[in-house]
Amino acid sequence: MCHQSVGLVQHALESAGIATASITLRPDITAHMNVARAAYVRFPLGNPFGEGGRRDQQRRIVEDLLGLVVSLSEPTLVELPYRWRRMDAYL
Amino acid sequence: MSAAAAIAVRLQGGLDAADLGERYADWLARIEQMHQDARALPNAAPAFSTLDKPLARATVGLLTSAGAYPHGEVPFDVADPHGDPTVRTIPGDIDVADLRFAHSHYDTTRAEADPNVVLPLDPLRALVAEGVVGAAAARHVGMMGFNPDPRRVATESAPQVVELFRRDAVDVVLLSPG
Repeated sequence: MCHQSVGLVQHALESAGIATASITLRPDITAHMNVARAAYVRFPLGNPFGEGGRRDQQRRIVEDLLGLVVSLSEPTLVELPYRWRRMDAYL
Repeated sequence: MSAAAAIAVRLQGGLDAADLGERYADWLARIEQMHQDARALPNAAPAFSTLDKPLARATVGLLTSAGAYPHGEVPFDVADPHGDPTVRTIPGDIDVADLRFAHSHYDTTRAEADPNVVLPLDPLRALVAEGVVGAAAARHVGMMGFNPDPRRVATESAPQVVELFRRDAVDVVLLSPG
């Protein structure tokens, strides 16, 4: 539901002329929300910008989002290549 | 609910458009079963704005629906089965250690340990300091995304967020879920 809430606010911002990009952990919901720009990362819920304390990874994802804002010319959902190192903690 | 994804989707494998449709239908069936008044409210068609200035002169704001709010403010209501669509303002100069989290539908442990995993204030500040981004917004936004009936998000929260970022002349907003 977080993704639906984000998608609704993102749509309103775009409609008001503010360019946006969002992270998604649920590409199915985000795609159906028809948002302007979204980046799918295969991280667990609650960790959209990656692992705690990894400022390099968080920064790269912020840069990736800004890159989408600058480069995309049509509404698009992309996937970022990062993987969660400690996924076993969630199994 | 029958609205289809109308945006371009570039996934790296393992998932295709049919999978997304199937997962979305499963999600909707599940929330309708679990929560009273739950419904999907997809945007019928995309809205798309472009940035009309270089990033190095743009003001960038952040929004998370991960339940972030400043220490000392009223937490989101996580007990209400109908959710909480209210909006919290996060001062641009806040120390991330002063952020708190209230959300009943994801594990907030990691966000509490390092709020940058949901609201990347420190990485954004670094990009501003280096001149990559013009400025960070004077105010950012915290929401709590658990809203089974999302109509108030569309009619109340979203216009409030638009007004806040517009007033501060924000050019770009980066959003994240919980």
